[in-house]
Amino acid sequence: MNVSEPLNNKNMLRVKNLKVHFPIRRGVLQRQVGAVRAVDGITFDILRGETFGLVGESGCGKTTTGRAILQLYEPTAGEIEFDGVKLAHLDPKLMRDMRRRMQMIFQDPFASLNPRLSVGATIAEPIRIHGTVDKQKIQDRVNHLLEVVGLSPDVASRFPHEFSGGQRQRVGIARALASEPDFIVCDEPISALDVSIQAQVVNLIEDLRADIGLTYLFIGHDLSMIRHISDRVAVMYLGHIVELAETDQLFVNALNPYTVSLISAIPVPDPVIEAKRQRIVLQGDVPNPANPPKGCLFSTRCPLVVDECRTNRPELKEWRPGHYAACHRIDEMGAGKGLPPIRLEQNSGQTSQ
Amino acid sequence: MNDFEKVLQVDDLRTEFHTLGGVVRAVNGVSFHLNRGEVLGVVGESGCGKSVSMMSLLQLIPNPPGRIVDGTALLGDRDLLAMSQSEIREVRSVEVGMIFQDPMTSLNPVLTIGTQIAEPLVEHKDMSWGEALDRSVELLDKVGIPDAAERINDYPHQFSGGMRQRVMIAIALACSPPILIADEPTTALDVTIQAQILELLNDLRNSEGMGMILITHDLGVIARLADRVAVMYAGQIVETGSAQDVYANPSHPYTQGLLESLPRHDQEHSSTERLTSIDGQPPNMLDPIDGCPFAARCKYVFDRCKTENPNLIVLEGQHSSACWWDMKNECERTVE
Ligand SMILES: Nc1ncnc2c1ncn2[C@@H]1O[C@H](COP(=O)(O)OP(=O)(O)OP(=O)(O)O)[C@@H](O)[C@H]1O
Ligand SMILES: Nc1ncnc2c1ncn2[C@@H]1O[C@H](COP(=O)(O)OP(=O)(O)OP(=O)(O)O)[C@@H](O)[C@H]1O
Ligand code: SF4
Ligand SMILES: [Mg+2]
Ligand SMILES: [Mg+2]
Repeated sequence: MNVSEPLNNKNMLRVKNLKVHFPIRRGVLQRQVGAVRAVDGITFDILRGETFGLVGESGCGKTTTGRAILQLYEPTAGEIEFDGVKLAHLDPKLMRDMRRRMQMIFQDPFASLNPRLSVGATIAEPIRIHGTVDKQKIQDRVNHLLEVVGLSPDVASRFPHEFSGGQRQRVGIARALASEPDFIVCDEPISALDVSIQAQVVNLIEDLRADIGLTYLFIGHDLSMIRHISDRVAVMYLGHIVELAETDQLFVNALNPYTVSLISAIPVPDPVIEAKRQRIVLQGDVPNPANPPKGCLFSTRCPLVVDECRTNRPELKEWRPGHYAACHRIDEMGAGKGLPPIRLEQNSGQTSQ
Repeated sequence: MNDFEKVLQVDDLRTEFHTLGGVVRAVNGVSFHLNRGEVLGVVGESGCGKSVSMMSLLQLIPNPPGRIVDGTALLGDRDLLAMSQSEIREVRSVEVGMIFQDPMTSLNPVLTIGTQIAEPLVEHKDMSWGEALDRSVELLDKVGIPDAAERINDYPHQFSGGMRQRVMIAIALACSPPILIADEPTTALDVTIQAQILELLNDLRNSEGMGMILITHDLGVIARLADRVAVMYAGQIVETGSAQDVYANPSHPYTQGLLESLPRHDQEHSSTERLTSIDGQPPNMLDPIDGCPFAARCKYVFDRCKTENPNLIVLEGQHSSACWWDMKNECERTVE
């Protein structure tokens, strides 16, 4: 497996075999009785200036991945390298600068802002911590950032509850930009917003990338938006990456049966297309990450499952340049030879019209 | 089009909330109907009045602060809004099932799943508890819960989100109501679980001829299931018609804006392409709205929009739009 290339300055971020396990404790003594394998050995690079999409269903480990990258969780194992510097055991001064350069935009614009801080104070805080203490300079920068995110500088004295969801998310973005980061983890930044507001915020996020040269890890579960915004996409299932490819490759030629099922499950906003679309309706739920299946993680729900899948876990392999997928049956289905991708209707899985 | 049998006809429904900040006109003159065995999709952004409209029909609006101030809702020839508490309670179990937006708060945490499904059968269908529990097992099985016979003894917290939603559906279906109102039945669920629930609802419509009002903000879900669509904005229906017509020829600027703003996972995007967005935000429902509620965000706005509220204007057949601007002919709409 070689998902990460040798170090070169094209890489903004390198994640190598990252694991984050959360202990499960029971009883009065709080003895550890097991662990939630929230992230269980993932490897990927994010190139400078790209938007890297991370998708998967609830609980698959997306947020944990983002937080571990930002050093908000200590990894159980593995390595994270930011702009050529390994983040483990950094001296405090260097670590402070690394923290400044990596920021996060959160899912819930209602919970992520301090209700007692005015919008101006919210944005000024990281400027003061990471930059200057000169009052006038801070003021100028706050005003500038408000303008950048499409708000009027007049709103600086107002409080979060006076804003709509979309406006609050703009404040969250201005705050993330305040410390002049190079890299931002966007954790479902639009899922709490109305459809008509989502496009506004996504456009802002995309414009900022071009204007200030940012790199994004964009976490989401809306595959349509992920396709729109990402250059490359990784699909997670139960703490693992099961497929990683350039965006159009992933959506047109998905190799892993979970990816194919996930894409097919999302209805398209066009009744004419919906009436004739092939769908794979997966049975059952995602297994518990404290007790994942032995073989392939998807084997309990996969429409293509064979005996081997239940005992051996398939590795993430490169099937086409830059296109990685984990599944025992890719070869035999011909996809690895440049033939059409897996056709799920060949097998027992329930498909419906 | 052939003549469908109307099972529900709602006219000029108005519901208000009297709050400290003033009067919220949450539902402001809504009219629609439902035909036998059809799915009506209701779409619109948060707070536009989708849930309050449907809760009003079933007299589920808390009073105070809420009050239904006008309208009729005919189920056959009986007006739901004029019914006594005991009559409407019977209707809610037997004739119009409802799946609520939040399954966790609408299931009783201290009663077993079986008890909750069986209760309406005992109360309204004269079944014994034994018969009703047997029927509960059948219902759970039908909505796709494995090992239904054992699981009827479980409590809601022992079920995953998707399974709880199935339980909600089983309860709503218990007395085989001819109409089901499903309020965001899949919003809280993962897409693969959403696909299971949509499949189930589709089967129910096909096998039992159940009419459904499906509330969602997801235009993909509507495209998947709905025969007709009602688009709501600020307490009003601003466009309605067959799903085909509304998606192919959106005739209200809000509907058009929504459809244009959606990225598609089945289409290639160039990396520089921007999404088309609707500027601004929905109106504060506390402020009185003169004229068209969408005027402040509309790119076609002209003088008349600011003073006169366009009610639904029939365009063609079943397709209506509440807009003074005729997009097709690029002129002000003339109403006979
Ligand atoms: N602090 C924590 N302590 C214990 N378990 C945790 C913690 N944070 C996350 N988990 C568990 O780890 C798994 C992955 O969670 P995570 O929040 O990363 O998922 P996610 O992919 O972001 O999901 P969602 O789409 O719902 O946000 C889940 O099973 C979750 O319950
Ligand atoms: N109990 C209440 N008291 C005061 N206002 C209320 C109450 N319930 C609803 N409202 C108001 O009525 C309006 C319509 O609410 P409704 O719940 O119908 O919206 P919705 O379209 O279902 O939105 P969502 O997509 O968020 O579920 C909103 O402005 C809401 O704030
Ligand atoms: S490896 Fe097997 S079980 Fe896993 S996804 Fe592929 S076919 Fe299915
Ligand atoms: Mg998350
Ligand atoms: Mg609602």
